[in-house]
Amino acid sequence: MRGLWRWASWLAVFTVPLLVVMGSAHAEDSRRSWKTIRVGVLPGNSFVRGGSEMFEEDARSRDSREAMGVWQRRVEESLRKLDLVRVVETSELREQLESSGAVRQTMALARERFELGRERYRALELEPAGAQLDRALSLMVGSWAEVTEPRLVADTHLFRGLTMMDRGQESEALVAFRSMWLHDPARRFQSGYYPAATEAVMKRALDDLVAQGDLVGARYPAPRLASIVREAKLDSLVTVALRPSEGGAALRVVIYDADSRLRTVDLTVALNDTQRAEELLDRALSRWHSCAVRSEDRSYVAKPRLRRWQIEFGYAHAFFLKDDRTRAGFSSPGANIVVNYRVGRAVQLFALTNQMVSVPDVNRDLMEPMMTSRLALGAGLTGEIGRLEPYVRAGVELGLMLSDAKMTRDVECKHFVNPPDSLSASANPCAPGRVFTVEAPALVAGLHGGLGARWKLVPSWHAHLEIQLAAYAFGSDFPISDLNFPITLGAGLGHRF
Amino acid sequence: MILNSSQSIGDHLGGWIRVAALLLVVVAGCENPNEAFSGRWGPSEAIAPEAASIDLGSGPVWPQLHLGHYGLEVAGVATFHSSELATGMATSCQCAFVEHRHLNLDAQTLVFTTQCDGQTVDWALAIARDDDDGVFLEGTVERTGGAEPPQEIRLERTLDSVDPFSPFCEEQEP
Repeated sequence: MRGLWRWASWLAVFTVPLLVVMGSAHAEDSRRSWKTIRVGVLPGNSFVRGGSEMFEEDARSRDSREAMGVWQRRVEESLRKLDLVRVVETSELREQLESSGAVRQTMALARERFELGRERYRALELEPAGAQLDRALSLMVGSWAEVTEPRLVADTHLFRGLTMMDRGQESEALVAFRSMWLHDPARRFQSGYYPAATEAVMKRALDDLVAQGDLVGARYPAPRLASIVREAKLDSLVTVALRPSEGGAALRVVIYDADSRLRTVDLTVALNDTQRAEELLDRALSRWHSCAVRSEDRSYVAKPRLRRWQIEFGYAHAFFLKDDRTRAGFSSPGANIVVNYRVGRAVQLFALTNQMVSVPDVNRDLMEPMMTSRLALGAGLTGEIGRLEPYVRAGVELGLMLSDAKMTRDVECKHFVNPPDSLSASANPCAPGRVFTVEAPALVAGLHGGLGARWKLVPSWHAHLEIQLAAYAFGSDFPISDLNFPITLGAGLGHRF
Repeated sequence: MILNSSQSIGDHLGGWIRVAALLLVVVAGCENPNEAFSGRWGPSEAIAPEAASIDLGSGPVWPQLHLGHYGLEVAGVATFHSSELATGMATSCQCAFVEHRHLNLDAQTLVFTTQCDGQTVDWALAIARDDDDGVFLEGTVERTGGAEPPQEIRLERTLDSVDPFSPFCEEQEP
């Protein structure tokens, strides 16, 4: 009985921590199924503008700029109305990005560098000015400035462009001015403030930019979006922009999904029919919402199929922890086959069989090989840590001896076996009763516990390593008081389907 | 006889190590140390007739040992023959059980007694190998209480395993 308690205590030591881990994993799994989708809104821009409007904003540009604000708010409101969607507005998103890590300090350094660059430029120290501005820009990249301080980024590009123009690097200046317009397309300049050549390059840069196809992609490249969603702990990011089209302005709404790293919505609608545009926008958001919410883990990537059945086979080696019959103990090599069925993510039912052949020990106290067939049934818990799957299981075990077992410590009985019929009993050096015999079939029953780990080699195959322990409580013709607590070590391969 | 009835995990571990060692020696083609004394040991052509004979009080006899070795223990019988060819039985003592055994596996030595015609004979033998890897039992035989000095003996293994009941000392009580 004490042995049973000890056995149960050891099982508890291994089982309880795994239960806690798997319980929390299961709870998290349930929450994840209904988790609210966090959608961040990036600052939007109207690119309905041309180089000719660099100094003066015409009615078209002004209307578009105002429309931009209206449509951005409309997208936010439409998202807010959807179930299980939490909209993280641009201001909140800025706040989150600024509060992470040393972003504010980095941004302060970037400002300092920008100011130094501007002063150097004004002092006509062009090369140091360029170096300071480039350094400022790289610091801004590290502090999410395109989201939090887009105008400062645009200013930096402006002075980089001006420095390059003064150094005769017109092509490089064009690229810098294009980046300036990309981050702040609404900015205006006083005519004649800069040299005519510089103004011409600025105009060309704006025209080039507006003619570019994917302005949203240029402003927020996919790797950058992936970084932002990770940093702000978002599930999706929405970008709203206006761009010129043949019939006037067109609205572009892009939703980037964090799990699939894809644009799951990329909608462009002409705004000449507002009602139609609203309808199309609602449809697109509704489609996105149904997919995003239905996906349990918020992913647009198909989940791997849960393979419920597992069959495992391998080598097993057992010996009895309690063995009062043999002095050196005997070992039992054999094979094991296990069939598992996953009820849930963490719970498994199992049926296990071990076919063992006990080999006589070095003293031959176990006189002949003993064949045993063991069957265990029960349930187990499984966890997942990357490719590793630790598990525990418990159940009941039945053991059936398929051959007679003969055990003795009397060397005369080991040597003088199978006497001829002509030999009288009194002449036999092996006295009757000195050999303990268990006649087959003998049955034992008790508790079974197991502990092991699987290592996924490929999705459908794994290697496994385990240790099993049984405690026999009942035995018909089997000496469980002398021979008990078989411990089995196993290793092999498994297939899941 | 060395007996050890205590059983622990250490014993199991030792058992595993022994099994591993056994596998190793089997793979390497060496003899299993737990069965090293098993077999029929007696005079052969490789041994001078006088080196394999002993005198137990009634002239020279040539012994044969029919042993089974089981780890810590040995059992079997000794037979005594009238010629070095081990043909024909000695007139006085023909067969005796191996008794009071003491085995040292590390040193590969075996000490036992036999009872013949009321006389106890002490055997002290060790396994020896010659340059050709032939295996021998070398040692001494001495009559207990006798005035004669111990007699040296050298036996060769002539069979690897024995039939426990052929020969068998039926007329004697074990």
